[in-house]
Amino acid sequence: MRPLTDEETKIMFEKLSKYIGENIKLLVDRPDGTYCFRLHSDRVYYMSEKILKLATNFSRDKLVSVGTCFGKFTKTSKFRLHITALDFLAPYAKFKVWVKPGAEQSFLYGNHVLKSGLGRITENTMQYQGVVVYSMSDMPLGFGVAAKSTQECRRMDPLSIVVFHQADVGEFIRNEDTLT
Amino acid sequence: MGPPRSKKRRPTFRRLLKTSGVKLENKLKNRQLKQQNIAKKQRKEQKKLRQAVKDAAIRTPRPLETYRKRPEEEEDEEEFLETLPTDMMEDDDLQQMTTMARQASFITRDLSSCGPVHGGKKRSSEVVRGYEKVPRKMARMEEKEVIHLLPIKDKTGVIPQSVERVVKKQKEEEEEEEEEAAAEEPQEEENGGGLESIADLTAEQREQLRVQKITQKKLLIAGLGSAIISDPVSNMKRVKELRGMLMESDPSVAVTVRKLVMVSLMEIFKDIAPTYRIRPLTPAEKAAKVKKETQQLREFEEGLVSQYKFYLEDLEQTVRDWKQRKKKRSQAVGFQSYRGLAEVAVRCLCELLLALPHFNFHNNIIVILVPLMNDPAKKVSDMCCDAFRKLFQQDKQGGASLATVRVVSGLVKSLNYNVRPEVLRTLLSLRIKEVEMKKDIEATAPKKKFMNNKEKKKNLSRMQRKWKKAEEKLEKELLEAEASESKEKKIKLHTETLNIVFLIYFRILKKAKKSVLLPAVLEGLANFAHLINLEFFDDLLNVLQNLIQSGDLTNRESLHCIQTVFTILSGQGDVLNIDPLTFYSQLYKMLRQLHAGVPNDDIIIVLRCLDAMLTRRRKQVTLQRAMAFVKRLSTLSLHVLPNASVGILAANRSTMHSFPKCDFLLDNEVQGSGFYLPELDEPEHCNAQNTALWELHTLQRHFHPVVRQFASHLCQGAPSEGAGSLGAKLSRRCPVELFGDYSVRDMTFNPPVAPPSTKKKDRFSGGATLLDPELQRQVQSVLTAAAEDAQLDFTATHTATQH
Repeated sequence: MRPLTDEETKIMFEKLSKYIGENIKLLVDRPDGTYCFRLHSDRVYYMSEKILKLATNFSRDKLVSVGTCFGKFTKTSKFRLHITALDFLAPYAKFKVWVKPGAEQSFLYGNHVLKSGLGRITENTMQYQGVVVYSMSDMPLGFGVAAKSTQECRRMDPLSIVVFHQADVGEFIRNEDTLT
Repeated sequence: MGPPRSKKRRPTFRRLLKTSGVKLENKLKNRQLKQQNIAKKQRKEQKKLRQAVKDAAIRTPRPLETYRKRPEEEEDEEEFLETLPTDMMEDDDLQQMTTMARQASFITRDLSSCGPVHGGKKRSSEVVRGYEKVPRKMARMEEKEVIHLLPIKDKTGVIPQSVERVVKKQKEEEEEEEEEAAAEEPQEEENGGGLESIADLTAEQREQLRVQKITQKKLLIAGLGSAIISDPVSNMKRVKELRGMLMESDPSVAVTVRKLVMVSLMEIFKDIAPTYRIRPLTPAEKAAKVKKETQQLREFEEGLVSQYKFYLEDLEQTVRDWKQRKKKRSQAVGFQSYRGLAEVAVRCLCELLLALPHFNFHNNIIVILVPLMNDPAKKVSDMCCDAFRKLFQQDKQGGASLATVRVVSGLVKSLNYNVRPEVLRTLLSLRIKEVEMKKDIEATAPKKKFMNNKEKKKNLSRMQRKWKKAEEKLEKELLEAEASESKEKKIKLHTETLNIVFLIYFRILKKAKKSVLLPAVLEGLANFAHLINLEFFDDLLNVLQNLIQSGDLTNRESLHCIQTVFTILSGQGDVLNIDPLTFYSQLYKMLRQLHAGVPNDDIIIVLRCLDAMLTRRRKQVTLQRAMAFVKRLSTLSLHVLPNASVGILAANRSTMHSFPKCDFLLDNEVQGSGFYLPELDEPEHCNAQNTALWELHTLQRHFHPVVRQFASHLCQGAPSEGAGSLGAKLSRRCPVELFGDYSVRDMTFNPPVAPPSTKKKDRFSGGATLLDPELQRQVQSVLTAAAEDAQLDFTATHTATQH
């Protein structure tokens, strides 16, 4: 377990800022204690300082997971967000997409969101902007990328894709073994 | 007699005439009938007028003899007048006498506010009186350069002959108009002496001479006026003569006389103009032979139109002279008095604008008046703005509004957005309730005919086809016969008007973001937001967002922006399915900046916004957001005026009703992670669920009883019934109404302040509950002693406690 290098920090923060913008600083400067990011076996973990100190008692090969996993670095050193980060990112989301109850299940099985399933969208969403997907009852469901801007969404036909799927809470079951 | 016309202006008249509608033969018949009705009505009115004068004459004993003749003459007089040669001035004495008698009636009716002689029309006597005061002062200044008088005297040499008679009449007038009484007596003597040389006269005499001249002119105007009104059809030439007096050249009386003539002509035109628009005759119509009456009517109409046109041109010229500060006619009229003249001219134009919206040249009046709305002289611009506001309010068909809005649009554009905000504010009084929204969709779809010819031939029998044809024809005729303006037409006009209004607004939003017009534009947008076409929404939202984020708006302006956005979204914007997060954040941010200082009025906009944002959109708002707003609003309610507190608490109440889970805020257990961040300006993640509404406890000790009531009500979770519920009086009213109800603007406190004595008693009675009987007795004795002693005598109480 080690702190992130500058390069890694940059890559990861770029990714996070797609979803929560400048609210990243709220993740780090919290009034209830200092939180930090740590890299362990290519995965990035988010934990409080207290946990960090406790975790130092374990040797590297014995430690499976600590704190919350935000995502992992791929072999090509890109950062991939995991669904486990949802609880921390959802409150700070800048752009949101609400999915109609009928289309919820389809999204939770790993499919893209179609125009017909689009319930509501934050105004002024740009194309390829990272969004957090919500159910109509304001339950966060996963991450996505807007395939079309808000204005374009209005003119699309019902079967075209408006949000690309990235991660959803269904993964907790589907990828149970790899999510740590 | 008319002024020299430049050739430039003539074509506009012709063009205007060309544009008026299509002819119909039976329309002509209708018109004649209408004309007859009007004539009849006028005759009736004339009779009424005489009756009124007669009554007045009976009341005042002296002029009785002159008036007493009239009832007998009444019938012949009317015929007599019709047979009169056109120029009244050259008639003999008897005629003069009779007409003068009628002049008196005209004066009393029009200038000194008698009863309403012409039923529906309202005249304000103050208008005339007010302006009567002005010119005399102006003209008096003129008087000092009196040498010019001589040649003019020669020109009107006929007049002294009639002056003696006029003076006698003046005596009658004296009883009714007491203002001029003082100047009368010496005048008579002077008249007897003749008016040989003006240069010799003293200032006082000159003054008298002037008064006399004015009276004389007044009588002349009155005579002409009453003659015209009694029989407009045959007296068109008198209008011309009266109009000629607009060119009055005698410098001592010119200003006054011109003003008098302007106003009288305005009243006359208001009376004699028909209720329809006069269109020019086609050559075919001209060539056709018509009855004598029709011919007469045609001549009248033609004369009326041309006289009206010339009159309007004169008014316009007056205004223009003033604007350009030309010294063109300055021999007769001093430079300073141009302003007064122009004001009267503008007032006349405004009156005509309102009184004759159906008549010819209405567009021309609009074209003259719209630029004057932006006039630097406040009086003129206010007059015009008022007139247009009234026009918008009374305009039921929408044609006049459309024309006005078009001109305003041109004006705003041509002046490069440097206009006064008042100009745009007049647009707020447009009466537009509905427009065609989906025009593009329906217009593009071709109208499907019930059956085309071929199908008809196939499916219907010969008899049926005939029947159908007749039916269609009948329907068409029915449609034509329908006199009232069809609704479709009205909506079409309104749509066009609104499009232009929005064009003005959008242009300003786009090109002149920093102009003073912005508040007016935002207000207008908020006003008409429900009518904005769906197509514009995106761009409008973008523009408004940029405006707010640019940060150079005042609180009020950005509140207007937010209000506009939510009015748009609450209407047909529902289909858009967007979540205007930034506007929520903006309002949330702004709530912190409001306070009890001057901008207390902003709260009312906030309350309106909250209604649209939280209560109406409750399905689209997250719980986090609602809670954050509730928390911040109750913080705000601590430091605003009591009526604002009441309004805000009422808004909180309705929010808590629409989000029942807000009762998290009423207990102090922490839900989920995080701390409440009171200074963070994002309602979504300030963790409002982890705070409590401690403000309500402070508010329960507020000095205002209604605030206390609301606070304790909210503390109990805002139950709609049961012990903690509000009374029906408070719970029924919306926040904005409550804000108005408890306003302290007029320095009254609602509810009235209770006398303070009762409370003191309560506090003292608390002493009875002491546990120790000894101490109780002691307290009792001290209290009774204090009550007995009127003055504070501490030694006395001390001794009382000792035993």
